[in-house]
Amino acid sequence: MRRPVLKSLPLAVLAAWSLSAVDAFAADACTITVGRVVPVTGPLIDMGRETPWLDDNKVKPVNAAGGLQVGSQKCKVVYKIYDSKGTMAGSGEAATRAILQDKVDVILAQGTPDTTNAPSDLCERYQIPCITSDTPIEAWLLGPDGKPKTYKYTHHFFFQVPDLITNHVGMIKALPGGFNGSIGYLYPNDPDGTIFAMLFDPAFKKEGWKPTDPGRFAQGLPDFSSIINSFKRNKVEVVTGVLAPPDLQNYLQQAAQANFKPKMYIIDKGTGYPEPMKAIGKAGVDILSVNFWSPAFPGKSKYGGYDGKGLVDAYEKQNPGKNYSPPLAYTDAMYDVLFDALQRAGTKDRDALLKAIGETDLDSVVGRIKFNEQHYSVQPLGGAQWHEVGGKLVKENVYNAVYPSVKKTAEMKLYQSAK
Amino acid sequence: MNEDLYWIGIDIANGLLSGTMLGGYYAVISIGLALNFGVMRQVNLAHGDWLIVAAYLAVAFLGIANVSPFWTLAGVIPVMYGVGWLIQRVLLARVSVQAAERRGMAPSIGLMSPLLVTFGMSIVIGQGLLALFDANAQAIRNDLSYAAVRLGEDLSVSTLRLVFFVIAVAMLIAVQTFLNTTHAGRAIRAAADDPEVAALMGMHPARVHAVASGISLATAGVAGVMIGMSRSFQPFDGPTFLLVAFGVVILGGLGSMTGALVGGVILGITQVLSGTYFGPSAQLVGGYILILLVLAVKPQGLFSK
Repeated sequence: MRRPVLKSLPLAVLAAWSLSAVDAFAADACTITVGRVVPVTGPLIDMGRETPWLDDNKVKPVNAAGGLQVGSQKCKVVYKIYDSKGTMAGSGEAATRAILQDKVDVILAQGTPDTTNAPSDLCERYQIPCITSDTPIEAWLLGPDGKPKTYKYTHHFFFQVPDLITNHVGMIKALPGGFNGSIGYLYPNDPDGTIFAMLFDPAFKKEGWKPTDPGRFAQGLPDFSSIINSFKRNKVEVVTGVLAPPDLQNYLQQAAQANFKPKMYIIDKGTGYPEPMKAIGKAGVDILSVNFWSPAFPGKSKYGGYDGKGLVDAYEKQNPGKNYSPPLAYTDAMYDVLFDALQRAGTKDRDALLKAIGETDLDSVVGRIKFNEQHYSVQPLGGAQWHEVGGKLVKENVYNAVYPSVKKTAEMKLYQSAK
Repeated sequence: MNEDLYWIGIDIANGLLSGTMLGGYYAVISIGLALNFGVMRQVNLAHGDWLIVAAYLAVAFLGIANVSPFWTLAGVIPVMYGVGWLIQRVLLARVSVQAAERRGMAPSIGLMSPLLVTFGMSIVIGQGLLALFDANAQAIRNDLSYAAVRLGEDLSVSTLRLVFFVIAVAMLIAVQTFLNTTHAGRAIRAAADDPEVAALMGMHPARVHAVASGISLATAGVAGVMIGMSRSFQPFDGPTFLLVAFGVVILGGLGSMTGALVGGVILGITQVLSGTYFGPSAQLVGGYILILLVLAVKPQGLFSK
């Protein structure tokens, strides 16, 4: 009776040992390496500020649990950050390094066309799965010739421009107390300024509004007084534009000095982020902009279990004194898309993974993500206004007619009417 | 009709007034560069970056003591003076015209090397600030930046710019008086006119230059605090201000202190007026065209001796 046991014991040990060896080997082979292309330095640093906290927040719990269950295996996830420096050239170089030198399995890139477009093109070139966000869809989709590009390896999710126009026109129509139809432009002579002027001018004119357009001016304009006087002269009630924070600050100071106070400011670029708004200070209170993300957004993270508010609370609790900025949520969702696709594919094999990403239908902190034929998913947006709540600047969602799923967290106010 | 006339008047008055005030701001930015060139025939390509360093210094001081931003000058000016003295003594003096001649090299090398050294310094400063303070936009908060002296319903002068204008005039008088009446000032001028004869007279050009460089950066310190009070700034903003300073110094005449103020005012008025009449896109262009015109007609500048 005892002999067979004794005899089989070494065999069993051997079998167990060999099994675990296969296991270890397999786990190694199934490690998923993620190349994260983000602006960590340079002019777009606001888009990469939460890195690497948010990466760790996503990846560490998965690895602590032994890895992500992919098919029959548990796969560790490893990420590496590549600084795009916020420029086209920098992001191209970063993605090239990730793909050719470090041979990552997948690229996650985020933060304006300067950081998403070169990596997208390189992923197409080298046939690597890539997920991008934090760039308006049209800026990612349309090539230099204005025609949609065909993406095979890259998937993208963010808001789309037609929604942005509907949103801004709607906010102006919702101006408390009515609008006299006189609108002033602050569109500088840079890519954003020219494109915004091109898109918004016809939309405003269609409403029958009368624009005061000082023309495209150079960034870093020293003196705004003549523009402000022309606004005053035409009794402008709504001022809209895309100004970089230093220019916005300079403009606001001179407007205050000239005692010019329109009823509404809708200014994009930098106004979605807490750091530039803190630098601008009190004059930034009540400025409206597009809300491309705030905790008012619907949805829950599959890998984390939190909603937007939970994510923000965790970030602000673990980083005392810091305020979240919107890319926090988009990056969180990018990881969710990747993990979900890996699990459905059951392998990190490229073709199967790509197919699974394409079939994504997933709830996330930025709303439901579902890619269409052209490889993008349209996410919601809203109208944001900075309010001062208890001495702190808070980005409230004050307009949600375009996407009612984004909760309204406060009522829209006239620009600094109480003061 | 009457309203049109009113606005024509407002446009002109605003152009002259805002332009003059802008000119004071430009003058403070440029005085250091003018002094550097006037005394040492040295073009400091890192001038703009030193302005930003001063602005960050002020932010650092305010982080320690929460006082009115003007008090930071008490700390910024001496520190910047020390820095200016030091970089001249240990760095730039080694590559100056005199140093080149001492080593038997062509004087042209002595003209070229400081350019290269300060260009490199500019890059190092930008990166250094980025490493120390990160790329966040910083600003020196103050109550004055949104305040104005109101002259009419549609005419006002920025309080902060008015203060800067007064500072510009005061600084100019101070530097000019120092150069004209004190021993050190006379030594600086002597060393500027003819370093060799000055050395024969028992002066030490290297020391004199270090003092001049210190004063130059001390004025840059004032300018930096000013910049920080009127707008937000980031580590790599320096070169923009260098460009402005160059324009002013070219207009006013290289090395002329009074020229820096008058050049600044002329540039400011030209910018605001061309912005008023040809649209804001013409604002900066108008200034550059003026600089080109002056270069073509009077290349030594309007106030050069």
